[in-house]
Amino acid sequence: MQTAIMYIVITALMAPVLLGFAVPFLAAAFIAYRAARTSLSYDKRVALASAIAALGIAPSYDDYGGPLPIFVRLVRGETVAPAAAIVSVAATLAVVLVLARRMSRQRAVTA
Amino acid sequence: MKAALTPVFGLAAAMSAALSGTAAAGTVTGHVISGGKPVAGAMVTAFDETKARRDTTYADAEGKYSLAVDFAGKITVRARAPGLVDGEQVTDLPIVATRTLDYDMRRETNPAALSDSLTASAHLSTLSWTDQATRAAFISQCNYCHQVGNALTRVPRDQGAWKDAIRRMEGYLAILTNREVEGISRVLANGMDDKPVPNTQQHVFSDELAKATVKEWVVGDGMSFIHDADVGEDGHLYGADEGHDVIWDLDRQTGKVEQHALPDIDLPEGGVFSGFQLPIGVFTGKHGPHSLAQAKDGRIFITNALSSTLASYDPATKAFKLYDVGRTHLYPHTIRIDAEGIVWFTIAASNEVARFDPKTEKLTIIALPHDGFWRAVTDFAFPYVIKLASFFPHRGMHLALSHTKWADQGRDALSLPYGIDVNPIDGSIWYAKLNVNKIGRIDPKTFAIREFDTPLKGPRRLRFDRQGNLWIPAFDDCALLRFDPRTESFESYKLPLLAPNEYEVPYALNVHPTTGDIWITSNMSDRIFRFQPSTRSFVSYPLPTRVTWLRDLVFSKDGGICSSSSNLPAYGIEGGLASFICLYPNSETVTH
Repeated sequence: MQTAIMYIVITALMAPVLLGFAVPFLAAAFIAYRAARTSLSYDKRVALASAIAALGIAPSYDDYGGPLPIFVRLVRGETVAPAAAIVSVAATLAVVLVLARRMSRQRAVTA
Repeated sequence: MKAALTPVFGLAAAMSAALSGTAAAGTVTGHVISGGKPVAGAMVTAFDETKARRDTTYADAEGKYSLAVDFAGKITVRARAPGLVDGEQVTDLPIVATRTLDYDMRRETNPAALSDSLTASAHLSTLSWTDQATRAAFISQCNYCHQVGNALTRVPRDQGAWKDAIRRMEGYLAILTNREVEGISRVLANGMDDKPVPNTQQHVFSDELAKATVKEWVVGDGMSFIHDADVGEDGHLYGADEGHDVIWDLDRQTGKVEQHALPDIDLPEGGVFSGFQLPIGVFTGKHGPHSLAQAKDGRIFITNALSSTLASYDPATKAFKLYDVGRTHLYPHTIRIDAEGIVWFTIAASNEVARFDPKTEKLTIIALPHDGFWRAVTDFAFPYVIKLASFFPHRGMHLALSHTKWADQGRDALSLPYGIDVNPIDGSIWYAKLNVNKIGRIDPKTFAIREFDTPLKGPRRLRFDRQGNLWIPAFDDCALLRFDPRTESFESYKLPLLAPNEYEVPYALNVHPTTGDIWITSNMSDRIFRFQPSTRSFVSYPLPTRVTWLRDLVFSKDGGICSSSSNLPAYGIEGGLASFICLYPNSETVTH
């Protein structure tokens, strides 16, 4: 239990770092979302952008419990277990999708 | 010459000792030969029955030795020399008596046994480093507090097991990037293969050796970590046991050892570092007494690294008093006292120096320059990370959050002010920043700071000579530096190695107050160096106990150069215990 809490705290505290590293992916997600405005439905565009963002954010935890985006570890030549990577991307995608839908809903309400 | 005088000298020494009430007993004399030739420099060590006391001398060029032993009774006398099998004899040594013990040592022909007898430095010399950066990280961080390559640390492991070992060390305070962990673990897995290493060491004999004796007093247990020792005005040796929160007190005259426990404090085990993977090293305490220095009023001031406190200990009343440094000021470290009685100490993990006035009990913290963005981040964030990590005791959570890892900064993320000393010419305070290769000057009145880059890496525990030259051990670059504050210029001297592909990690040095000689710890080859500035030459004194790791060197009034043998862990030291150690370069002058 303590380990789970510690990982949650670590992930929350390191979220800005994860987002910082993921800026190129977030930018790409935004561009893809805008560019696909005429060719894809809203749901598909959100899914596409979320998937791109998730690829940039999805963390891989090292032996110390320190998270870094999977792509950063790969660029640095560190090993990432494929199964853990898939689970991480999927979990991140789920979180990003929920957040993206919430944000767009809030924006719609505000508008 | 010395041996020829032995009967007279031995009797005189023992009688003198008996008259003065000291512990000296009899004398052991003899010859050490091998294959019919004298073994110059052979170390002859007498052990008392409990093996808690060890007295050593060196054979001269003719192989003769004479050892005035501090203890009587049944003693074991061992002759040891490189490449030869240890010779041991047991004898009864009454007070005021001389025993003659000769040794005919045989050459070690078993490659494994010969390899085992070599110093840690030899075992590291066969490692194949793929790049200098990884090797530099290894020297800096893996030799930080102990040898690697000794019997305890050269056990073959696969890369995963080496990674586990390194991870444990990181939990203790080693700072490495993940890439460095990968590289170091790979090299160690490939290189530490239990195959005998070839003996390419060359031991240079100096006539100075035959004048010297080494005395060792075993103190503590296998988990003791007597970080620093100091000689009190009473001639006692005081040692700060960071492992057990006690001050060891050795009366060298009687051999009596006392321990004085620091007062309890409202902190968990590990002090403010309780979130680290504990015990840090072998620490089971809360204070972590680290460095000590005696003030003119007789009180000994002690930096408590783990509890962020300064302690004073009065040897007369045996009373401690604690002064809070503040729990955001992390790891009070090396301590010195200036001519006005002001206590100065570095605060290593917070990039600060503290000034404490014992009269007013006023503490002033001086923030040192940040040395760049990432180190500024460390200086700001480290206390909070430590605090947060303490909510998850012993988990090493700080490593998960640290930019030493995620920003790939490694040891560059910490400035680490380390050694400190007082310039006797102008009273200015000088410190060394271990990780950023700088020394700095603090004006003691205005606190104005000026820093200088050192030409070599790893400036550690520096000391001034009486002329105002600053002598600096370059830990990472195996050298001695001299800095002249007047001309702001450096000179460097490479330390003498036993083989060209070895290295040393000089941790500390001190300048002898009368001879001006510089005494330097070697730490990878169980030696101590003496540098004579007038001739710019070194004398190497091999030390009798394998895995000798020395820290602060201090001078006793009776001519000793003393320290604590404080390899981490103590159970890695030959015999498995820490000790106080004094080298007397001119043993005839020893009065106790």
